[in-house]
Amino acid sequence: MLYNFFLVAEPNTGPEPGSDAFVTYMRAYRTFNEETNAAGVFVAGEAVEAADTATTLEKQGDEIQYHDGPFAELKEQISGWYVVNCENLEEALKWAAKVPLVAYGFGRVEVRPVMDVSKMLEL
Amino acid sequence: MANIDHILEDSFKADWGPSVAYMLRVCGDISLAEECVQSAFEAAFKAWKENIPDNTGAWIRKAARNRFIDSARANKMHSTVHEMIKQTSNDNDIANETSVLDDELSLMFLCCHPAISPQDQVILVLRLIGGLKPYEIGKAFDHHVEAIRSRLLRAKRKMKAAKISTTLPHVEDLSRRVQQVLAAIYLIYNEGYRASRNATQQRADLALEAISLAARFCRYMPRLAEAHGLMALILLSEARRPARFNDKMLIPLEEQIRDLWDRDLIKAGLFHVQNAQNINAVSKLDAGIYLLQAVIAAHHSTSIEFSQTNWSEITICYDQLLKLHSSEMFALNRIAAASYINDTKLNYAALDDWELLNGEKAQSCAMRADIARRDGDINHARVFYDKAVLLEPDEGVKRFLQSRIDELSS
Repeated sequence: MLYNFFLVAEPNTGPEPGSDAFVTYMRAYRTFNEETNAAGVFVAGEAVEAADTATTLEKQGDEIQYHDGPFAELKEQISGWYVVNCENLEEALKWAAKVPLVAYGFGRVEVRPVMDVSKMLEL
Repeated sequence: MANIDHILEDSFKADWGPSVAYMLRVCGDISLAEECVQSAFEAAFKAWKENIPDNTGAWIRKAARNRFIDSARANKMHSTVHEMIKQTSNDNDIANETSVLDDELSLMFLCCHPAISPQDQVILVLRLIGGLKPYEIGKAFDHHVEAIRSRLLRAKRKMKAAKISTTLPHVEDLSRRVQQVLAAIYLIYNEGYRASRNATQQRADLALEAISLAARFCRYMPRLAEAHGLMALILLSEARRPARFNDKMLIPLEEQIRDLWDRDLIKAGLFHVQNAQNINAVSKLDAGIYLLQAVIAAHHSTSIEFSQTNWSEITICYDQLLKLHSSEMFALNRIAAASYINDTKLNYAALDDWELLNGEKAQSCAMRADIARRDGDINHARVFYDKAVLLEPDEGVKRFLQSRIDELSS
C-alpha cells in the first residue's frame, strides 16, 4: 500500500542555513532516507524549492495560462514529499512521525493513501 | 411464539457489535461486514419463529458468513472467498467467547482510531458496536440523519482507502489507544447528558449506551484500572441525575435531594472504584484521570449530607488530577472544593489567579458570587450573579443563577 507524505511548513521556520543546527537537521533527513530505504519503505521523495519559484498552469478557454507563483497563497507551503510503501496506515503514521520536519517541530506532514489508478483503467 | 420480538431485540443488543466485528475480520471490509450482519438479522426474524437457537450470536455470525459467501458466489469470487474464510475463521470461533471478545475489542480500537476525529469516533462506536441506526444517532445528537449518514460513510471510506489496521494495536501504542477509546465512551455519556437536558423530545438514551460500552470495555480489559474508573465515574454521575434537575433548572449539589440519588447505581459505581483501586495497588500504579474523578464522585455519593462532604480529600484528588491533566475546569473545581476549607480572602485570590489565566467566565463569576453569598456579603454576591447570568450560555444553569438572585433580593 502506497502513501504520500506532503511536507508543509511556513517559509523560513527551519534552522538558519550554514548553522550547526541546520547541518544536524539535514543529517536527520539523510538518516530518515537511509532508515526508510533499509526498511524497504522508501519509494520516492524530494524536497522542493520555496513557493516563490513556482509556476502554476491552468487552461482558460483554449489557452494555457501561466501564473507566476503557487496554486494558492497560503501561509504554509509544500516543502517536499515522500512516497512510502507500508503495510497499513499505522505503519505509515509511524514513519511520518519520524520525518524531521515533524520530529523537530518545524512543520506538518499530511499523509494520504496513493490512489490505485490501475483499477480505474481496467473499467 | 409471543416473545420472539424480545429475543430478537436482546440478541440485537448483545450480538450486533460482536457479529460486525467478526465479519470485519472475515471479510476485511467494514461496510460489507455491516450489510452481512444486517441481513443475518433479517433472516433471523423469519427463522427464529420456527426455532430459537441456543446461541443467538453464533447463529447470527454463521448466517452473516453465509451471506458473505452467497454474495461472493454472485460476484464469481467464490473460490477466493472460501480461501479467505479458511484463513480467518472456523466453525469454533463463531461461538468462542474469547475470540468474539477479541474481535469486538479490535473493532472498538478501529472506531476510536486517532486518524478519525473524536466526533466521528463516537458516531462509529454507536453505529458499529452499539447498533444504533443513523436516525437514532441523529436524534441523540440533535443532528440531521443525512449528516450522520454522510459522516459514517466518509469515516468508513477513509478506513478502507487509507487502510487503517483492523487488528489490535501494537503494545507500544496500547496505552494511548486505550485513552482514545475511554475518551470516546465518556464523550458519548456527556453528549447524552447534555442532549437529554435540553431535550424537547424523546431521545435515545446515550447514557445507557455509554454504560453498556464501558461495561464491555471492562470485560475486554479487566486488568485495566482506568476502564473500571470510567465505568465508576459514569455510574456515579448517572446515579445523581434524578436529583440534578427540577423543571429544567439545575440543582446544585448543595441543594440536591439525596434520597433521589439511585442507590443501586452508587453501589455499582463504588464496586468499580474498589476494583480500580485494587488493580492499581497490585501493580503499584497511581490513579488515572477517570478513577480520580470517580473517587471525587464517590466522596459526594457517600456523604450523608452536603455539610459532611470531605472537602480536604476532594481537594487532594483535584491536585492529583491537575498533575495529570491541566484543565481549566479541574482547576476551577479545585478552587470550589478548597473554598469550603479556606477563608474568603484566599478563595478570592485563587479565583483572581484563575481568571488571570482563563479570563472572566460564567463559572468563575458564579463561584465568586457563591463564596460572597456564603460569607453574607449580599451586595458582592448580587453583582457577580448578575455577571454570571449574562455570560452563561446554558438555560438550566441560567435558571439556577436567576433563582439565587431572586433569593438575595427578597
